[in-house]
Amino acid sequence: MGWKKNTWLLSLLAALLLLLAACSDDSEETGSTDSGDDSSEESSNEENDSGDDGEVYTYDFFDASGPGEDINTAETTLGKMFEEETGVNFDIEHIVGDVNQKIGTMIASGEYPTLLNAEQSTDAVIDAGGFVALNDLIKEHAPNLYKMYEPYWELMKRDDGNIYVISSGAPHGYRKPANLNQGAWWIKRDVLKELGYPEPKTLEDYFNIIEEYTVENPQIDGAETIGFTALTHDWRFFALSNQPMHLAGYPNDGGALIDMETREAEVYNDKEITKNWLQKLNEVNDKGLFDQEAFTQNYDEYLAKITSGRVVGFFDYRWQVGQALDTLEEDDDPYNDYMGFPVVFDEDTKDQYLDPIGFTASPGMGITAGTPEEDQIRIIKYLDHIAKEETQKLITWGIEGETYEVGEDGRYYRTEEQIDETSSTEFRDEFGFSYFEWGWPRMNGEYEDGNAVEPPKQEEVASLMYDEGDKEFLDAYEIDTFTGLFSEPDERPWYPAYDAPIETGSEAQLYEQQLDDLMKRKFPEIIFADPGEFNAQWTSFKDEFSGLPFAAYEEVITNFVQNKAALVEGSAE
Amino acid sequence: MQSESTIKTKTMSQADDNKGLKGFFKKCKQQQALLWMTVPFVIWVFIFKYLPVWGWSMAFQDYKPALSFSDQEWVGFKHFLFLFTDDRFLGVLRNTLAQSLINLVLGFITAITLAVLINELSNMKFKRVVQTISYLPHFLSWVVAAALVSSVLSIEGIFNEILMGLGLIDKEILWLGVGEYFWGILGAAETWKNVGWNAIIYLAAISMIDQEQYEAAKIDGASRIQRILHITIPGMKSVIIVLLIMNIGYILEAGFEPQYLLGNGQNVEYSENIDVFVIKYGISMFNFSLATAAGMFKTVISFIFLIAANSLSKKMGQGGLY
Amino acid sequence: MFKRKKASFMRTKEDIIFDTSNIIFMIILCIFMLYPFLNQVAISLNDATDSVRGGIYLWPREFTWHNYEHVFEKAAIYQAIFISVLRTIVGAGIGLFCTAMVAYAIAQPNFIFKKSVTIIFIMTMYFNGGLIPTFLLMRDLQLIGSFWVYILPTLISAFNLIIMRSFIEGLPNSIFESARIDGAGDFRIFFQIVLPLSLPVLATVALFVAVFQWNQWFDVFLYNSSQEHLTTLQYELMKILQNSSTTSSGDMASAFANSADGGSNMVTPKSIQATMTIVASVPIIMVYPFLQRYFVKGMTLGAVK
Repeated sequence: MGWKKNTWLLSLLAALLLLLAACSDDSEETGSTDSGDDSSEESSNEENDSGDDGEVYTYDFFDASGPGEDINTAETTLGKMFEEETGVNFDIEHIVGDVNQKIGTMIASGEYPTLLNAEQSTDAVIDAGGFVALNDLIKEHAPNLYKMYEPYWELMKRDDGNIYVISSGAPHGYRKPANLNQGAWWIKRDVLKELGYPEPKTLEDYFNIIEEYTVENPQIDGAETIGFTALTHDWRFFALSNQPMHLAGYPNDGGALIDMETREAEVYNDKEITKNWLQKLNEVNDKGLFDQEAFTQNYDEYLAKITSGRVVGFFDYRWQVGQALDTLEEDDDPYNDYMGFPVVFDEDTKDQYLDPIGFTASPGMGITAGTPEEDQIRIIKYLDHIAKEETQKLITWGIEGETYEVGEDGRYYRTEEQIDETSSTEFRDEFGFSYFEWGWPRMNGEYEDGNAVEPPKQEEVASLMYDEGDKEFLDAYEIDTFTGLFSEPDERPWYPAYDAPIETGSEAQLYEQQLDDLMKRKFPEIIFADPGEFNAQWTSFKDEFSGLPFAAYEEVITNFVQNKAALVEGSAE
Repeated sequence: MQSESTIKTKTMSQADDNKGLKGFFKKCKQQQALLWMTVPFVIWVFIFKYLPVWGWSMAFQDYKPALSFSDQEWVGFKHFLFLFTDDRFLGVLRNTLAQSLINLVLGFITAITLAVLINELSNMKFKRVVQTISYLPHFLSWVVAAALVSSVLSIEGIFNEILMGLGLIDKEILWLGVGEYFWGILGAAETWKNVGWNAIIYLAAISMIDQEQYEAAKIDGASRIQRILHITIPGMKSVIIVLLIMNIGYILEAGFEPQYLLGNGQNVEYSENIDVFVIKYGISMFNFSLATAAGMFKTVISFIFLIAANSLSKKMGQGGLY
Repeated sequence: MFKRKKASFMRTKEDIIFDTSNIIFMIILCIFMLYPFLNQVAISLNDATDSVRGGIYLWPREFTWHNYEHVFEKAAIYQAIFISVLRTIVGAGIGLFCTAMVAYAIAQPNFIFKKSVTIIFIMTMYFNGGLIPTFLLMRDLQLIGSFWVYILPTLISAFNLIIMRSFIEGLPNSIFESARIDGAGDFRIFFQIVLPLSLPVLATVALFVAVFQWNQWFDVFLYNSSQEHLTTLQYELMKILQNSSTTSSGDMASAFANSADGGSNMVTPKSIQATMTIVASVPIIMVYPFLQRYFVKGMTLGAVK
């Protein structure tokens, strides 16, 4: 009987193998038409060499900058339009796993997709000679692209004078965002309302509000009130360690403060400002206002806590707490939302929470080595088409009369229906807003006619997004938008300093990881220490910190800042 | 490595067969069928498993994927030194050993016990249901499992509530915030997640035991416990020993996902193990060389433990892996 | 047969105590093991934005099918399911056959290469050449972009091989001897005697290989990520999960870009994670009950003797 069963199983297996054979034949065929290897690309192009008219060329675009739907650009309204204009479309593939591993295998094998955004591994690809130089290509074939990036041309060059990648977001003028997207000190609106709409300006004010409310309301909806919580999970630890920088009046430049005069970078983690910040937390903890789970909770738990309404205040970047704050905004209760304030150490300090104008040269998209010249030209022409101002308006605002309207004064706006439509995921996917996003050549700031590049930054759009609850608080604080309390950013031509390329295996790179480990280990001890012990704990942290190669890091950042600033200012003249 | 084992093969076959080369070929011919069964797969294993070992050269280089083998920069033992001289290395090694030892002991005891107990269930339907349910947690990713562990152990979590209710503690404990508890938490979590899965193999072993032995023992008046101790457990012995030796070889493989997900600044002195260290300072820093060096170190330790466990087992007359 | 026999024995007091406490223990155990799963089911059936609030245990608070719709709306998922099933069946089938064959050979006490072959395989459990050398090997073997890259590199796991060998070694020697006297060669003994007698361990190894194959996504990521028709369910789910997370890449610039568009997310990582857990695990969990009948059958040695 056993034997019979075996025969049966074997024949099943044989059948499957046959099926498979059929399958893999098929795979080879499809593989040669749209796979990433260059040889097939070449052969298909030779056939098409006869002429450009009517011919459609498909190239692979591997995007390691983030997740997304893998589609062909021509499947979207925008992509179809661009295909008609240029005869080119792209098969986009987004990264799913670890960037370093995936790009590492590409480099090792020398087989690249035609168009590549290698995210944090961009330098490695450039070192490997994986990108072609774009300087001449852009100058000869892409006048619009050149115009858009001209102010930053020198910045885009590598040490060898070549430009390999085109990054997204070439700033043209500054536009203050209507809604917060960066760091802020959040307080629950309920609290603000109960205490008569106080406006915290200093760290002292901020925690006084929290203390006052918490003492009066030890419980919220039956659960214990949490005065102040923090996000520290995994790579998000900076949401607890960046504060000294902000409190001292600096924007988010990463791990160092950049002196406005000398443009020297200085790490701040062992400085007085960090001590003051930790001391405040230590004091707050002693009063029972600091969340005991701040260092053990994971990201989901943190979001759930904020959404539950038990938390009086927290500091974070809006884009990290988006899920929680969106959930609160969508429900009917306007008072469980949070409002963000620009808190500083002392009242004389000017807050710098909003990002200054900044151009980041890397990562960006580049054409990979081995791409035949005709293909390089077609691709750069496609990018050039995108860089035209009217195309830029298409990818940000959409089509006039459909996704936006133009007022008599030439101002762009969206009706409420258009706002709803353009924020629905399905529509964005179908139209192509989701795909021609950050990553493609893109302007930032405002168009020549004065309209904001990004619709949410246009007052006409932003104001329509506010509901009654929002207006109550806008009125109470006498502001028009929620960024009204925040100062305009000062000019920092090097911004952002955290963009400095840090060499693999260098001391500076080691420093970043070691500092992260040290802070994760020591900060809880310092904050949870008995106030009498605080100084001893702080000294112990400082001692260990002094053993880290911070000077190497400072040097890398200083060099970067000074070079970049010089280039920006040089090209501005 | 390759040549070493072929030498071994030769010497061994000679020892097996005293009649010299001629006898060896004769035997080969006799065992033709067995050779057909193995030789293709030995070739397979050399190609797929042994060939890529050239990659170990990376441990002695500052490996850059872009460069060809001859262009790599050789740095000697730099990456090993970095690993071994880091202040935390001893702590990291201790954590790795402790975590995997706890895992090994707990894993074995619980899985064997569960298999025996499931086997003792007389209702077939119930037995199958229990079997299936017990292996469910194995299919949860660690992301989900760790989130669950974290919420159970939070201040307002169910674990604190139960302990408070029972009056065992008088103030909630932040379990993941105290380093000393970490190994225990990890051991418990691993056990919960994998006990059902690990029991499968023992259940298979039990089902290979001749049922007549049980019948005979019953007639002799052996009690349940006696039957378990004298028939079931001995029946699984060879599988247990083989698994034990193999797992002792994995002494430095404590895993990294749960440690990474449940680890935090407050318990880092107990949670960080070699794999977590390598992720932080190797892979996430595009440093394939460090990861390779750590892998080589683990392999050497594995072989030492494996050989030791195997010869110990043989000395004790329990047979070995090879 | 056993059942009837059992009934003829009196259950002793010890038996009753043992059985009762055993059953109670098992029920408690099942609750522990089942809860997380039911919890994931509840979260997957709950409105995504509401789930961010936490506090969902066994029952969804705001019931919706949306998370499942979101997962299954992509056409790619169906092809991926097909590939997953295919690689599971083919991988388990071929793997099982090859493993059993080698295991049979190295279980023969007088096989001249018994020890060397065993060692060659055992060693592979404790080292690997690393990501990039393995990738280059696959490229040189032209396996990249092919289905076989899922099957060939993991054809035989040394772990399963050793397990299988020790089971085969456990078979009574007398069977082999009498078969040899009857003139049976190794292939016949292997097919006609060893395979049918080893059903429990075959089932075990089949399960191990099947689960391994089913759960794989890393080889898709490395070798076949640009071959849409060859991705697996786990890989596609991974993709959906990452898409649902606005800040998963860990990069500030892209995180900023993603949230700048203002639109609210209909799905969240948490709810997609839960949905994914259910979608990915339920099919493979079903394999075990099916294989269980090979466990309880036990050996019917008498028939062979």
